Amino acid sequence: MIALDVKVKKRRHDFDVDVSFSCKGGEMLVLVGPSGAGKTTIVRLIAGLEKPDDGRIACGDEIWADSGRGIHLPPQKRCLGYVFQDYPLFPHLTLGANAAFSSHDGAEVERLMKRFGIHHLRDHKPDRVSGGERQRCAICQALARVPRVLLLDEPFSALDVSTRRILRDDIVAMKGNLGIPMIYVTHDISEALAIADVLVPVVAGTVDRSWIDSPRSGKEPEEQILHPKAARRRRLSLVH
Amino acid sequence: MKLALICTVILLAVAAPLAGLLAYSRFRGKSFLEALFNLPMALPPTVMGFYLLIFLGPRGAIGSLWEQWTGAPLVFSFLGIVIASAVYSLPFALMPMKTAFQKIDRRLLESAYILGLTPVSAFVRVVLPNSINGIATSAVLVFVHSMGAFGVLLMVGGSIPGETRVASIAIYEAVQSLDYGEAGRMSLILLAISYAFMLVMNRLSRN
Repeated sequence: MIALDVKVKKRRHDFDVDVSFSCKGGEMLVLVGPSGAGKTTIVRLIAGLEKPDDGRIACGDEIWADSGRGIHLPPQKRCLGYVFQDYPLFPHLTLGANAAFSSHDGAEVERLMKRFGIHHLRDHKPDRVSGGERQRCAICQALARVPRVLLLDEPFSALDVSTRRILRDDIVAMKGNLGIPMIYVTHDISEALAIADVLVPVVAGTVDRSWIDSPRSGKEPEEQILHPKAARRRRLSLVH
Repeated sequence: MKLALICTVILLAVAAPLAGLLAYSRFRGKSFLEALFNLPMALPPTVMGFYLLIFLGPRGAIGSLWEQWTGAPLVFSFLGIVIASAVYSLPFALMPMKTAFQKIDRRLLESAYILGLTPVSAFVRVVLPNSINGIATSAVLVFVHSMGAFGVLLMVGGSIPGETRVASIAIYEAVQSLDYGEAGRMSLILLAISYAFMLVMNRLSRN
């Protein structure tokens, strides 16, 4: 299974993003941190929507970006799935046409739409369905093109709690079958702990594990990327 | 009418990619180019007509090439007034389309790129279908504006019956020859058509 290796620097007006991590195939890596910490910038760098000032992004043997060698593959050539927070589906197309937008396999699109419970809505336009249904369609659209990496940028934060939980469980259940690196962005620490295989806390553009350990005080300089079980134990130790 | 229809079709095809370029691209000299495209809106029609007459005339850059190629002059021909009318109405095609393109959520385009579309296919498959109102507004404005063109067409086309005598020139000539009945009939038709188009535009801007 291919792995996604990321080591990037990007200057922003408020701070510099400078992170390094690796995500294996079939693994869910969660970028967690406060709003405005640079998580979305990292995902956009991986997607190719922004160009790193310095660093390298590689998916298996394929180099997507390498500032030293002047390589920057456009998003079109990275073959990835990207689900945005409030996903803007193409408003002029039905859910069926949205899901099949970049797929050549009609049967697979049908299967995905059934799997996510929106097959009966395939002839509806996005403005005629609920936010949860739109987001299900967005996931179908991202998966239908058989991506090499799946990026989920706060995909369910605009949804109600129960729909969020159902969709999150669906994604986690598919993780093994997909076998691709999955990057999930959230500001919700409990959501991150519930689904992460690897947790990468991001604060002001850098990996900062102290945000997990003690969000208020900020300590503990040890290893930067935290495995969720360890993080969960730390959190539990904070609960009286 | 024929001139306005042809002009509308040609301008929509030409202005859509130009408006896309102005809406989405950043390049040096963009504001100069945009001002040049919008110049016909500010220029007096006779000034515009004068320059077009020079360029399209037998000694002009475009006119001489055309004459060498086809053997026929470009000015005082139907094709000549189509070109003149298209140049004259270009800003009316560009502006509504550019505004409509700029209103499209940037993330829709990013999402199209991620889904593998080139910028050109994203423009055709995502931008154009979501800008129908802007495109229709352009079409209505260009049609009405071309139908009312007078000074430019008189300079470039003269008033050759059956070839370059358009409705607005015919009305002027009817008045000059004191044929108020004919002028009134033609004016009433133009008034009705223009009003109908304005109603269509109102409907489009409401949506």
